[in-house]
Amino acid sequence: MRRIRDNDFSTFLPFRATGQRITLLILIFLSTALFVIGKTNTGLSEKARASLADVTVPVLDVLSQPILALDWVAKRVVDMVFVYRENDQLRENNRRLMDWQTEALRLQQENDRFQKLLNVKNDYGKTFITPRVVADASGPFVHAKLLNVGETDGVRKGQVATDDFGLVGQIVAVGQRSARLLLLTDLNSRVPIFVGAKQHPAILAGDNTRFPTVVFLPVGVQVAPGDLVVTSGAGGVFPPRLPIGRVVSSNDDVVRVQLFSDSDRLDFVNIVEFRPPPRLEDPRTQSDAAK
Amino acid sequence: MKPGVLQYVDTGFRMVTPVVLAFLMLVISRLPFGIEGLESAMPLLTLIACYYWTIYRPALMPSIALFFLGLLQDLVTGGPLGLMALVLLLVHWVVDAQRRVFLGKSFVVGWWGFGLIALGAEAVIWMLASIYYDQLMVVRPFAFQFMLTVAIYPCFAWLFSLVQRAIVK
Repeated sequence: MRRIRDNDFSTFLPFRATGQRITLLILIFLSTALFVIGKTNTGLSEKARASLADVTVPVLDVLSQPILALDWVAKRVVDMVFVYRENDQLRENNRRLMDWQTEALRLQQENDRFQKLLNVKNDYGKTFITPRVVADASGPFVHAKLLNVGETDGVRKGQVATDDFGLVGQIVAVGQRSARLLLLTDLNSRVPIFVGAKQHPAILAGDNTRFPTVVFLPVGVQVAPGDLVVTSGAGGVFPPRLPIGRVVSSNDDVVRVQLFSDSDRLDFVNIVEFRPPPRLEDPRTQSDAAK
Repeated sequence: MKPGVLQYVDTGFRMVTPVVLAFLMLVISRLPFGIEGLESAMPLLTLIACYYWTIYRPALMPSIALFFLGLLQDLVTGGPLGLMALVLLLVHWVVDAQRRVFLGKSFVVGWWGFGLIALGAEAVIWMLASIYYDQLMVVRPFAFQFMLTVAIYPCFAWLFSLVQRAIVK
């Protein structure tokens, strides 16, 4: 066989030394331009991202199967090792939860009765599809996941996703067969919340750490570690009363939240269908329009 | 003797192997591994590929391939478009200028060099991301990513050396 030497490859390269340097400079200029355009016009890069995700998601869907299988095996082994200890713990939990169940049923009946009396209209949203997480779209500055459902499955931008424990995040981009889920920990995630039993309104803001921060708490309000954090439903994007997490103590003076959802081990998420209440027209703007 | 068509095809296949491998590594690094904390500190495998091939076989990793590799990485990670493309091209530029320093030296020197380059690259990524999002980024995930990338370098350097031996005989 003919030996391949380094200079053989030059037949395929139209440029040498200087030409290569010019190409490099042009490409550096091009990527800088893209970066600047992306900063000023985010819509364009979002569109490119969504269409690319459509192509890559089916591939990732297949590729992630072996990892799922491995994960399954690893979980089985761990389960086997701890089976006795876990069994004892489960029995104990079961006893405790039985008491809670009785209490919950009683409260639910009571709540139903009160709601009927007061004629309350509730819309907590309901799950309509449970897609699989096929890829991590995260980095040191983005926390997101790619899902294997898209527009054709009825998924829309702005819908929210939960796992078995609580709110996970919000759909921020939808392609034909793929969707991007922005996690609560992401820098750009903002969720209207209630904190504690007194339901102090605030905003949950991600900052790329594992514990999102609570901002815009009313002045003078004190929150304590352990306080429950749920969605408030303000703004009509998130369904109200979805559990999010608990306040944890932190060494800086920001209030931080430990999430119930487990974004490290996300395999499936529930997309929640929620129709926000119709927007009320402001009578002042209406009269302005009539003039 | 003029090389035949098959030989051109053969050379072509050998030439694109490093680039295709780098693309595959990028896709695989995006799979959900379910390991705590890994998602935001996934090693920059493209950076390893960029560094290695720029030193040992620059012709096999041309700047245009690095540009598209970086662009794809930006698209799949959801980061600012153009950021990784710019970083990979800058690394290519710097390493290309210094490649005589590393060529023919021991593996440890190459690893040490990669550590310096990765530190610089991480700093540039941190800076650009801070500019893009108009606020200073939390440094910890960048530091973790840097450490993981440098720690995993020997595995991929070894893999690439096998590939290199297989395609350039």
